[in-house]
Amino acid sequence: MKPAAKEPLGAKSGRELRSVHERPSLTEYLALMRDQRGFTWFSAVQQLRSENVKATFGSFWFLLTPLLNIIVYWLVFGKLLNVNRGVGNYITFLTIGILMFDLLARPLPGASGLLDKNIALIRSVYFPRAVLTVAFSIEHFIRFIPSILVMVFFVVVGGEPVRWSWLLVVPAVAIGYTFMLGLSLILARIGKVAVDVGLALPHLIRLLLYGSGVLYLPSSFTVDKRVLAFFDANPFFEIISLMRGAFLEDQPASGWLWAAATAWAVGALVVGLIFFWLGEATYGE
Amino acid sequence: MASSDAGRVVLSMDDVYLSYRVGPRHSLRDRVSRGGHATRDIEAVRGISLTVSQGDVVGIIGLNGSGKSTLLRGCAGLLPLRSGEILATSRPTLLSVGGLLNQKMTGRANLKMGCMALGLSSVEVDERMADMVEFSGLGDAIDMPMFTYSTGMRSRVNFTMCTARTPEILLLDEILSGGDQSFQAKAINRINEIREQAGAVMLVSHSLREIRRSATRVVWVSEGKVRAEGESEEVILAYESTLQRGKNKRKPASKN
Repeated sequence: MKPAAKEPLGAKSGRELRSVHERPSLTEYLALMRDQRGFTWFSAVQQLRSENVKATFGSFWFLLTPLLNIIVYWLVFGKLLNVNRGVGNYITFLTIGILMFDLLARPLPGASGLLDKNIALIRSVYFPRAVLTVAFSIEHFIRFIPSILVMVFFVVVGGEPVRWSWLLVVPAVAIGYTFMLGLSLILARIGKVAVDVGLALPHLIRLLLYGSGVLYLPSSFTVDKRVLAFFDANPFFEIISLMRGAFLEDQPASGWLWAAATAWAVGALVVGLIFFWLGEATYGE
Repeated sequence: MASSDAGRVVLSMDDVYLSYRVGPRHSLRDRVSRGGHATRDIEAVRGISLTVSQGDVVGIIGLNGSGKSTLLRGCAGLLPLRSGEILATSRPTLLSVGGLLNQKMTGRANLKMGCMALGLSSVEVDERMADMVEFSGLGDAIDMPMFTYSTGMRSRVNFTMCTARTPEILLLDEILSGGDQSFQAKAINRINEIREQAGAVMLVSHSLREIRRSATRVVWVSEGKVRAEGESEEVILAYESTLQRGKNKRKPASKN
């Protein structure tokens, strides 16, 4: 074998002795994460590849899953219960709601069990553990890409006029991804200490599903200012509304909504990174 | 290469205690039934102090469950310390059986992912891939999923991966035991190369033959403590004699 390159392993490769258990500073930590971007991408892609391989429809499930999801909700809420009040183009409205909610909330139970699932890897190699969460979020983001196509399909079929505002999809998705990554970092650490959180999460997510205007437009069902203020402050509702604002002519998103959603996303990421980094030494337990 | 540095301390352990947590940290049942003072930890290492210098190959011997592997994990910073201190000039690289490998992926994909986790870039890995495949000696099997591999083949992939870059401090946990004679010889050469390239190695093994062939110093660990430490042959002989005694003791007992 070729004589290998010099050791930039870990944050430290100086001459002086340092504790191997010392947590790298936050800036060192971020630099280490940057150095691991190749590993991050590779493991996300490999993970996706190993999915659905045994199914007859293979990778088509990445498209089929969101489609079936929409059909089920559309049958129940659009056809049976008629909650489409105040929305001109309900199926497109619903599609965007469900698929964006999937991006934001679906990874969360997985995130809470992530460190336990990877304990063998964590106990055999050192790398900044946040990399695992980032790879996990990328994996979910890639899985979300076909959903964007599904949305565009329903937008076009639903007869929405082509507008420049469609470009706002890009920042809206970026905000959604950032928020999801931040939440995943927070939940990954919490889930390591309290496995129960992972068990309770699906219920919380179902509550969020009904409380984030995924299936209906809140302002068509209540005039209570406090209830509507709750929706407006809910980041899930905000991010879904940004996406609807981009695609649907009768659901514009205000500048205030953009500002609030951005603040939530950046806040979640910063808090998530710091919170996760503080627990770095405990993840091998 | 770094002969001027020979004897420089690269890894030092001071009264190290390490333990494994079994079960949840604060289970409700524990709190109720044991008054909130539940400890479900297994203390595997209880007060070990050791110094490893540049050029050392420290062989670690001892019975199963004596704390050898836990000690290596602690040295790599992978397991939090209960108490004491472990200092090193750079983060030691641990190589243990099966840790990194993903069974569904091919040997080649595992090599790539493992090397990247250890800090090589994608380009660097691709450059070295041909060399690594050759070193592993796996031939076409490298493109088969790992669940089709035998234990020996898996340990070849593992060893190749972890020595792709020369770590300053390398910790080996039973890594040679799976391979056949020809690979063991290759692996021992590689360990010697690493030692020459300004490295230090700690080696856990049940094969005393292997320890004799590569270690410059031997530490005998028993029940989480250092039982004996020093010149290889001396310590190995002492260890072997207690193994013998153990056997002799057991024999009459089983006959009765």
